[in-house]
Amino acid sequence: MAADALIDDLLAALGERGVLTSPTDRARFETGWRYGKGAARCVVRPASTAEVATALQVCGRHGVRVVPQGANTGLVAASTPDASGAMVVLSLERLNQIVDVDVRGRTVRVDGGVLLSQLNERLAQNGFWFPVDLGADPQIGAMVATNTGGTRLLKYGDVRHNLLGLEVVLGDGRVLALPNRLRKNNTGLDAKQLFVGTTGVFGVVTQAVLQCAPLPKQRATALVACRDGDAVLALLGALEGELGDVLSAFEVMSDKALAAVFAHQSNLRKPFAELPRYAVLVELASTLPADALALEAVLEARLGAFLETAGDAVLDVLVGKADEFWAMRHHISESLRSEGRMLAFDISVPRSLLPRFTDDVEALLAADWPAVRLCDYGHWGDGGTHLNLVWREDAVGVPYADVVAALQPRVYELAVNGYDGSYSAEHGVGPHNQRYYDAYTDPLVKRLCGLLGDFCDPGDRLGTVRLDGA
Amino acid sequence: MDIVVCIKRVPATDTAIKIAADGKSIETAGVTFELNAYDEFALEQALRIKEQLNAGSVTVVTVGPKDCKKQLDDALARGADKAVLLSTTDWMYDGMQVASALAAWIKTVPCHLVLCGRQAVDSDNNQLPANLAGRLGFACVTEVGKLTLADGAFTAERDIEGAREVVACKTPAVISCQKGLNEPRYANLKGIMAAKKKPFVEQPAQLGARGMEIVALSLPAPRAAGKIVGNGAGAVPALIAALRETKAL
Repeated sequence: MAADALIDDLLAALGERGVLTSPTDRARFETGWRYGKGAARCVVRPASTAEVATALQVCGRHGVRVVPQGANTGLVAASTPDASGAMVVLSLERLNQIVDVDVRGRTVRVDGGVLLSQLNERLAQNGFWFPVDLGADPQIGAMVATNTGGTRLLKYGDVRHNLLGLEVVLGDGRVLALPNRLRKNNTGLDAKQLFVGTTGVFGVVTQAVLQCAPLPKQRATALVACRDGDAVLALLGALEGELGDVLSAFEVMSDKALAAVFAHQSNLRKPFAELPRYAVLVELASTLPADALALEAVLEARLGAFLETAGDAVLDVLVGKADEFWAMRHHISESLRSEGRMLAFDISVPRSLLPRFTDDVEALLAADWPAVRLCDYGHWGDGGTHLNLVWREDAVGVPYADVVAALQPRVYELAVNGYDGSYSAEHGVGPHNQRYYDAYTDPLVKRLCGLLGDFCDPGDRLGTVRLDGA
Repeated sequence: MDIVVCIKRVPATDTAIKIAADGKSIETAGVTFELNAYDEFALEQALRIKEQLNAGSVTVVTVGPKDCKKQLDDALARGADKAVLLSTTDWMYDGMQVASALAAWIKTVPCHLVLCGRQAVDSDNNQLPANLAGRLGFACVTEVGKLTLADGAFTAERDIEGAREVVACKTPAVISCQKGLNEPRYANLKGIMAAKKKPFVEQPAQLGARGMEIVALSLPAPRAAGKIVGNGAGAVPALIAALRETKAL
C-alpha cells in the first residue's frame, strides 16, 4: 500500500486494533444493513471517548470527512460512507461498556457503542428494560442520533423521551459532557436535544444516560379484524379510553401486507378465513402480577364489549398467541421484498387522517399505476405508517428507478403538504431522503442548523447528510 | 359421530428447562405451558369431521393437574363441545399409565373415534395412541398426514420411510395426527365467550400402575464456547483448518 500519512497518524494514535485498512476488513462497514453502500479510506474503531476525540482531531488535521457509524442498521443510509473512497468511518463498536446501572434511580449510563440487546440483557438483571423496542439491534449512540421509535412508542415514547444525559465528542474533538441523571432539570437550554435525531452531524454520541422502565410482569395480546380504517381508529379510541394505562402496542397490518406474509412464511397460519382490510395487533402490558390484575381477561372483556357495539366494523377478535401475532408483524417487511420490487415509505400524518391519506394513495395508484400495490402497515397509534408499494417489474413495464422517480415525490408531497405529515416518521434523515429534507425543511431551520454546525463541527467534517441546506 | 380428543399441556418450546431438586422431574415454577402442537392437529381434525357431518360431538380430555383447565378452555373456545379433566397431582410421564386413565374414562362415554397427537413434544414417548387403542379394542392408525371420511369409513395417509401409505379404517378407531394434517384454527373472542357456558367436567383420574419409572433426568451438556481463529482475510487459512479439524469440511 502507498504511504498514507492519515493512516499512519491514526495508527499512531489508536493502534492496530483501532484502524482497519484492508478491503476485507472495511467491507462490513461500507455496506448498510438495508440501504447505503460506499467506500471508506479506512475504518477507525476508538475504544474510549478520548480516542474518539483524537481520531476526529487527526482527521480534521488531514481535512478528511468522517461518518460516525453504529450497528449499520439504519434505513436512510446515514451510517455508510459516500462512494468517493475519501471518507473515514468512525465505528463505535469498541466503545461498548455499560458503565453503571443506578437501580434506585432507575437510570443507566452506557457507552454509545452498546447494542440495544446488550443493554436489555444487563437491565433484565434488575427487572428493567430500555423500552424503545425495534426489530433491529442498533447501538445506543446511533439510536440517539436517529431518535428511533419502534413498536411500543405509544406507551413509552421514543429515545428523546427516555434520554436524560449525553456525552458527545464535537467535530473538532472537544468533549461536551452533559451527564444529567435528573428527570427534572429546568436550567436553561437542554443542549442534549441538539444531538437527538440529527444524524450525528453535530457530534458523536460516546455516552448516554437513559431512564429505564420496569419490565412488565405480564402482557396480553389480541388480533382484531377491522372492516376499514375508520373502524381501526374507533378501536384505538375505545382502547385508549378504557385501557390507556396499559395499552403498549397498536400495530396495524393491511390485508395485502398480511397476504404477502402468508404467501412467503409457510410456518405461520392465517388467523382469519378471509383477511380483513386491516388486522390490528393490540398489546397490553402491566407491571402488576397476574394474580393482581388478570390482564388477558380484562382485554377479552373490553374487546367483547367493543365487539357488541361496533356492529360490522369489527369482524373478528382473536386473543392470546402473542408470539404468532408478533411473528406476522415482524415478517411483513421481508415478505413484501419477496413479492417483487418495493418502494418503502416511513410516513406519519395526524392519525385521525390516516384512513383518508391511505385512500388517497390508493386512488393515486389506481389512476396512474394500477399494477403497483399498496401494502401498508404500521404504528397507527403514533400516526405512523410504513406505506410500502410493491410491484412486479414485468407487470409495470418500466425500470425500477423510473417508478421510484415518479411515485416517491408524489407520495411525499401528498403526505407533507396534503396532510401536514412527515416524510420520515422514525427512520431519520440520510442520503436516502436528503432531497426531501432539502425540499420540506423551513429555510430558517436550515440556517439554524448551519449556525449550530459552525459551533459544533467547525471544520465541517461529520456525516454524509447536510442539515444546513448547503 | 362422537369424537374424543386427547390433549396434553406441555412446556412452551422456548422454555429454559430446569431439573427439580429430586433429580427426576422438571421444575414447573415459572414454566409457561401450552397445548401440545400435535394435539392441535387432532382437535382441528375433530372439529372438521363434526362440521362435515353436521352432527356428533367433540369432547376434549386430559389427565393432569387443575392448571390444565387453560388448555381445555382453549379447546372449548375453538369449538369443542365438552371438556373433561381427569385430575391428578402426579407427574404423568408414563404412556401406559396415562392410557389406563383415559381408557377407563372413554369406556364410560359414547365414542366412535379417538384423535390425539402423534406424540407429546415434551416427553416424546409416542406410546399413547397404540396403548390406548389396545385397551379400548379399537383399530389404530398412527402419524396420519391426511384423513378423509366417506361413507362412514376413514381413508388415512401416512408418510413411511421412502413412501406414502394409504390405509382404510373403520370406527371405532384411535388415530394419531401428524404435522401437515390441517391448519389449526385460532380461538376467537366469540368462541372464548361461548366456552364459558360449555360443560366442563372434573373428576379424579383412575390411574393404573406405572410400567416404568424415571430414575434420573439431566440436561444436555452445555455447548462448547466459540473460538475466534483470527480477524480479516488473513485468518481464512486458520478458519479452513479449524473447519477441517471438526470435519465440517
